[in-house]
Formats: sequence, structure tokens, C-alpha cells
Amino acid sequence: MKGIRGLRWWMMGLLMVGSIINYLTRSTLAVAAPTVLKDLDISTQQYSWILSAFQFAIMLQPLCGYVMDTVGLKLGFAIFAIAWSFVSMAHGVAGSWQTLFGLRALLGFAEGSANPAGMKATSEWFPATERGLAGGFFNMGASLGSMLAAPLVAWAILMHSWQFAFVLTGTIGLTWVALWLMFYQSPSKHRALSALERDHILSGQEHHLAGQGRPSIAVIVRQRNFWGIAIPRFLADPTWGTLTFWLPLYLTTVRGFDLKQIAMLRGCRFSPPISGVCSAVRSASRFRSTPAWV
Amino acid sequence: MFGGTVSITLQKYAGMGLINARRCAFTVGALMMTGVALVGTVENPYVAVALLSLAGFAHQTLSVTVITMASDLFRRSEVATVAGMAGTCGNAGVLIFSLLMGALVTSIGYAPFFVGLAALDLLGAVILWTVVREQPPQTMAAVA
Repeated sequence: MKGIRGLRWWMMGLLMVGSIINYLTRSTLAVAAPTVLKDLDISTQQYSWILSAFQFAIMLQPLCGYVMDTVGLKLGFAIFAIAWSFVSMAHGVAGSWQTLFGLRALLGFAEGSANPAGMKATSEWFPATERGLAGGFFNMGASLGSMLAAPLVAWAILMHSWQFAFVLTGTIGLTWVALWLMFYQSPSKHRALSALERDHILSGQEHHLAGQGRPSIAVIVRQRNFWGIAIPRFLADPTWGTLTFWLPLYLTTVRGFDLKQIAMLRGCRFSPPISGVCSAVRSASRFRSTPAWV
Repeated sequence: MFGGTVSITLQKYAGMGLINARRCAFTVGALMMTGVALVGTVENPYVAVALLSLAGFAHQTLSVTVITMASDLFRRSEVATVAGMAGTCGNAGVLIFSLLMGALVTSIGYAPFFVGLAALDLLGAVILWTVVREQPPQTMAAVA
């Protein structure tokens, strides 16, 4: 088989589409929330519990990373993507907040695979110097997925029902899995990888890291600078959570917007998805090791 | 992109060190975030949306900055782990804030939460200026 030029970027593109779908799937509930809460008679307090189930489960992502390290990225990520697609579809038959709570926990766990999958592919497919850029490219999927959710979900609800919105995102997910299984292959097995590109990747991989040992969590948490950046993240990230999960609800209940207006407005919010890439390019040379499970 | 541009500009034209430039970029973001405090009180819904969009932009600026700082402050072999652990702290923040909103939003409304978001980012800027110390990676390796 003849080599495809820049194959690593095609592989990353395939992964980025997976990330788009991952974020589209997790954002479906937020856009549908005004409709779902009214329909199922769920209070805002119960809605916050549903959100926290997702938020809690996604913290288990090192476990997803461990599974993918064990069974390989191709199979591992496919399993998680199939899982999140079916869990999303199951939202469509939910009739109470308790069911949604359970489904969100499952969704959070399965969707936590995206981050470690991106890291793992980046470390397998790219020489150290290109990893920052590759990671930034992958992360664009998050912004694009959230951005697409509003118009797509609103359309599904207006055309049919909120249940249909979840079935639709689940179907998109399964379609992507088929593409993933068809086209993804690890660099060691990929037949379209040219000798030239293989050399380029291998020459930039750091062999010395094998002997360096894993970073110690106990040592990291004792460092002042770790808390110096972890606490600001703890304080700042609620903005992201509020804008993503609460905004549609706020705009409809308090500001009197309807679904169509939200579909249009939400698209504007994520205007700078490119920012991830730009900062990544600058730190590109600094990113050397990327343990796949983080 | 904006956060990166701010810190690059400060380094280039003000002769500022990398960490101070990052602190400034975060602070600029946090100052822009103060607009979100008014979301609950403005009359016009479109002004509210504009302020929320500004908040989205401001948050992007400061969060990209603080995420990048993991690679400025830690050894290469630790960067991904540090970034992941800091991300977990961020997740915990979202979790707690969402639970508080769910518990209180029906009684006190959204307005205090918007004020809270603005205040939390300013506090985050203070932490960056006071807790983070510029030190070469070698020193940290010695500590480790």
C-alpha cells in the first residue's frame, strides 16, 4: 500500500471529530434542559444533582485511560464511544430525574475517555516538538462540539421532540465509531504510513523517558506552585460550567428567550476555538512527555 | 489566542518575565469577567447576553493562560500529570458551584451567582500573584 502524506494529521483529524461528537453529546442535555425540565417536572435543584452526577463521573477519567492503555486505543476508544452513544439514546426514554441522574453518571464516565484518548494518540503519532500543536488541534473539538450542539439540538426538538435530540446525537456517535474502526490504526500497524513519516515520528520520540519513572502525585501536591495553579482553576472553572450547563435554562426562565433564539446566540459564545491551538504552538517545545492516562 | 497574545506582547515590549506576563494575562481576563457581575441586574436581555459573551471570551483568555502555566512551571515529565490534576480541581469547582446553584437559585435567583463568578476569578488572580513562585525547574527537581 502506498503511503499517505501527513497521515498523522489525518489520524488526529479522525480523533478530533470524535471529540466534537463527545462534546456535542454532553451538551445535548443543557440545550434541551428548558424543555426536559418542564416536560418531566424536574426542579432546578434536581437538575443540579443530574449535572453533578456527570461532573463526578468524569473525574474517573484516569480509569478510562488505563483501559485504553491496556486494550489499545482503537478498541478502547471505540468501546467508550459506543457506550456514550447508547447512553445518550437512553436519555430519550428517561421519565424521571433519577433515571437521568444514573444516565448522566454513565455518560460522564464513558465521555471521560476523550481526553486520555487525545493524549495517547498525540504521544503515539507525534514527535515531541509537534505535540503541543496536535493537542491544540484535538482540543478544538471541544469548542466545536459545544458550538454545534445548540443549533442541532434545537432543530431536533423543534422538528420532533427532545427525545429525538438524544437519539440523534447517539446515532451520530455510532456512525463515527464505524468510521473510526474502519480507518484508525496505530502507527506500528498502519500500512499507509510512509517510511519517511515513520522516521520523522520515531526520531522525535524520547527514548530516555522510559527510564525516568512516572511522576509522583504525592510529590506534586506538596509543591506550592501546584496549588498556585490548581486553586485558580478551581475558582475559575465554575464560569465554564455555568455558561455550558445553566445558560439555556437562565435565558429561557429568567430572560424569556425561546429555543430558536438560544440556538443562534449560543453559537456566538465559543467564537475563539482557535485560541487553544495558538497557545499550544507556543508551549509546543515544552510538552515532552504525555502519560496517556491523564 | 488573546491570552497568549497578551503575555507575548508584555514579554516583548515591556520586558516582562514569562510568569509575570501570564499573571497579567489572567488578570486582564479576570477584569473583563467583572462585567458578568452585572448580568443579573441589567434590564435589557441583549445587554445580558453581550455581557455573557464577554464572560465567555474572558474565561477563555484566563483559563488557557492558567492551563499553559503547568508547562511553564513544571518539568516536562510532570506536565501532563500536573495539568490533569489541576483539571480535576477545576472539575470539583464546577461540581460544587453547580450544586450551590441548584440548591439556591429558586430562592435567591441567578444574580448573586453571576457576582460570585466575577469575584472568584479576581480571587484566582490574587492567588496567581501571591502563591505561584517563579523558580527554575532545577530547584523543583531538587525538592522532588
